[in-house]
Amino acid sequence: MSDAKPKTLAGETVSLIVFLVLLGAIVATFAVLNEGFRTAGNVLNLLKHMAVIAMVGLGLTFVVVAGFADMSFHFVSCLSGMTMSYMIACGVSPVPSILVGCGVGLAFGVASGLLVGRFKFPDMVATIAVGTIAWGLAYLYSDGSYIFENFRSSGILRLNDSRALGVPLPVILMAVAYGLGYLLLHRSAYGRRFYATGRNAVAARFSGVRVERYVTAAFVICALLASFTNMIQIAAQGNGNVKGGLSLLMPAYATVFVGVSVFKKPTVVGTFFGALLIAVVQNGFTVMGKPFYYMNFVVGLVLIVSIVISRVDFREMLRRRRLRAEMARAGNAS
Amino acid sequence: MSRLDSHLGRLFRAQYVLIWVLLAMVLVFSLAAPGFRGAGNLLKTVRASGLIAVLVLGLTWIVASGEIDVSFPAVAGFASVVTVMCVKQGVPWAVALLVAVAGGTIFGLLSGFLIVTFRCPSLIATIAVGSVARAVACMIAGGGKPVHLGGVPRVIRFLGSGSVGAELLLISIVVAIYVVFRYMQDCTTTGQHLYALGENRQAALEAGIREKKIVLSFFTLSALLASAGGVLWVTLFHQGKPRMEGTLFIDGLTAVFLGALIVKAGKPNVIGTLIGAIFLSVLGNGLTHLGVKSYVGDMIKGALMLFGIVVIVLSRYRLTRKPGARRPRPAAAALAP
Repeated sequence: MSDAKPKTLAGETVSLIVFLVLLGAIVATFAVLNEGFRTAGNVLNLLKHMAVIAMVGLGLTFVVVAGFADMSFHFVSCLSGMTMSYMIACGVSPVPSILVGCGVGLAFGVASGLLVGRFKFPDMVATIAVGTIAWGLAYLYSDGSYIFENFRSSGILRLNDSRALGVPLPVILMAVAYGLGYLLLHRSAYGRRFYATGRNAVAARFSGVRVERYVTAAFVICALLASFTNMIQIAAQGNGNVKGGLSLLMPAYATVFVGVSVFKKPTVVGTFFGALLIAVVQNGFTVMGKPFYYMNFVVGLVLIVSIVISRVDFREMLRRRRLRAEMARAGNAS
Repeated sequence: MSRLDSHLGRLFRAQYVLIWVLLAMVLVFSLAAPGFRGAGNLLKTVRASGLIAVLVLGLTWIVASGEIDVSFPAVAGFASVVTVMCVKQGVPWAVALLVAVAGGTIFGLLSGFLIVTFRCPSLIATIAVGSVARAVACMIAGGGKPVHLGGVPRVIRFLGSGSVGAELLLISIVVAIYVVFRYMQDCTTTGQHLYALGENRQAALEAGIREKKIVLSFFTLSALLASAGGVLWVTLFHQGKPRMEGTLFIDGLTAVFLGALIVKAGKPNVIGTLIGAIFLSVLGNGLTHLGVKSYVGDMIKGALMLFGIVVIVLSRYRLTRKPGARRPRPAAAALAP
């Protein structure tokens, strides 16, 4: 038992090195193929794009750590984004608009969290149902058309455009969110309890973890971060669109599971690397002038490859091969 | 007399509530909207439900066996685009249809392979495969916009014409598929294995059920039926749509989960899905005739799904009286690594 710990650490390090080499190779390929990729402006764009994917992924990480799946956050983010856009259009200043939008997201996060955590509803069905209701509500503000009144004059665009010391605001927000997320999930007792809930909810309950609260908290964090991310997207596009948040679903799952393929469990750092990988690939294709569906194709492929890699245990494979060879040798000898 | 009572009581049990709601809904819509009760419109409504019904038939069994498939709209979109592009290139429509269904089935094989061989959570595998399928459909269509059939072949024009003969033909095809699947579900061992897997995966494995083979074939079947739905879409609307997400996704899953309320309480089943699809189609059509906006329909669907879960969970409570004695959540089991 005593030597179990260093072994797993070594395994993680190996897969992390493999991942970083792969990432480096991808970056090098893009940089060689395309001059536009290596400009400083493009690196900032890449980071901004990464901030969007990374923050949604961070929220989803909590849900996956708690052992569930959320199929509502992208729908909920549409509703809270439209709420914010509508308030901006009515002449409310940005900060209260953002807060109210996040409040709507929070309410729906609490709803799915309570349904799944407290009332033990099946997670997939309950969250899809909650999400469908949220999506229907998102149409109420404008019958589904774009909202862009007051966007320029109100200053909401600064959420995406403003910089501090040359670093775009979304990137700073991402850094803050990841710092807090890391402390919460990996450096505090709360984080341990999230993992305990996901591993074995019954055991966690008997160990004194209030499982319902942790599950609800996970869904709330996920809905909140997704809502906020969609607001950044809206600020970047300059208009509120009902379907804008739907595109968050796939990258969010991709970031989390690229992270799982590296660290063998959902972690904050893994999700960060996943977001980095996906942002690099998507940005590379955008700079090369490929249409959006190439990026979807690549994200899908990255996800498939990371599934394959995460399930292949190289050391185990080597050990088995050695065993088989030894057995064959023994058979020949006798 | 008491016997009659018990028979009547059986008709009003939880698993038949939705059928009564459906009948009440038809009645209310017929009284409120004159446009709804015309024979032509009723026929159209039933036929429209056939599209969803075929699309999610495979998904029904996947959910019943404790997995999930979210790639069905993407696969249907892929099949519709392939059909349209083939017909545009001058390929005979029958061949185009076969090519589209075969192409779509490959995606099902791929996700089944990922799930069975690499023990990947089915949600993740189908999200990945679905995004690839959607991207490939966009590449074939040359963009995200729907592609239209130029010259519509005679057979497709007849099927999409809305004449009584065409409607009856389409309905009878759907009914034939459902009869076959109903037989397989309730009268063969495959059907039993499917519910055994959903009930207790470990016990089913110990009992010697060949889980991998069954799961792989279900995902292939689901993609095959989703592609068939995509081809059906082309015959009805004369266009191929690479990006079928949003409404189709919600409708499909709602049909399956509402269907889980009927006949076998709490378990998705073939007849339930058919009734669920008809239910959604009647709801959509009736609301349109009443002049209600379509997003209200979306909200009602979400509320119905929640209502369905509440009914199932409450009826389980009453059956077992112990909150801890319920069966494990299928969706959570599907995600567990």
